[in-house]
Amino acid sequence: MADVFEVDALTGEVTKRAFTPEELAQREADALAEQERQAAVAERAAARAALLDRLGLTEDEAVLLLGGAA
Amino acid sequence: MPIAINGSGPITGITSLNTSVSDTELGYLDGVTSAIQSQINTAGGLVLITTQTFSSSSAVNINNCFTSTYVNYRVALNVTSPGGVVAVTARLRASGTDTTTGYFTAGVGINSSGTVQNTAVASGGTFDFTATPGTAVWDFMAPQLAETTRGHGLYSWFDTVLVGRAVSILQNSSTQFDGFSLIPSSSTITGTVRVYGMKN
Repeated sequence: MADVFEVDALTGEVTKRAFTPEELAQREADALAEQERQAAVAERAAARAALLDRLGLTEDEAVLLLGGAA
Repeated sequence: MPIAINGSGPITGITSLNTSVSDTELGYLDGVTSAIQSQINTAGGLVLITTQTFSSSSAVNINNCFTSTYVNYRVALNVTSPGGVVAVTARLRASGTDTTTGYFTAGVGINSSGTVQNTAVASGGTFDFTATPGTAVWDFMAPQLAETTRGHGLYSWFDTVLVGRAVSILQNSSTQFDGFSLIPSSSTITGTVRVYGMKN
């Protein structure tokens, strides 16, 4: 299966091809960065939940008070 | 209300909506239509550069869509699958190569349950374009000029809730971009992308 859909907008030529080695390396780096980003989001959500717990607030009450999670 | 005759005056003889119009007068209307179209053609507006439909693609590269013909561009994207939420990120590219650094992102969002979902990235390697299944409309300002490129996007996606975001990006380089790439964070994507040039 072709990985990449590529078009030249000037000519209209469409190419369907596999990733180049450089693109594959970038894709792996992107996946790692995405994992780190998701971990940071999860960490922030956990910190928020812990803070709400300390304050004795439910998630719904926090949304009511603050307009939602930042 | 007076109606121009071939651009030069009112059509005569029309006193109510039920009044019939002669063939000659219809000819005048044709002339008016052509005149108006000519004005539209020379005025501003969006000009379609390319429409591409892709299926089960791990990356979508649109090359040579930003040229010296237009300064500013609009990109409209509709991604129909996959059904689960998959982030669709993007990069600007030049001569067939993505630029992988220097993307600043700032935006606000909220979902249909009322939860705020803002986004803020300083000098990232990519920028969020939308998520699946979803849509996006982005305007890119002067991407092909040797100056910083700015973009402004509105996008939304729907899974169990609707999420909408309004986001601005800045690509902090003087690279003269001629295209962009769409990159799902996982899986593959299916959809349609259209690129328009904004006439000056």
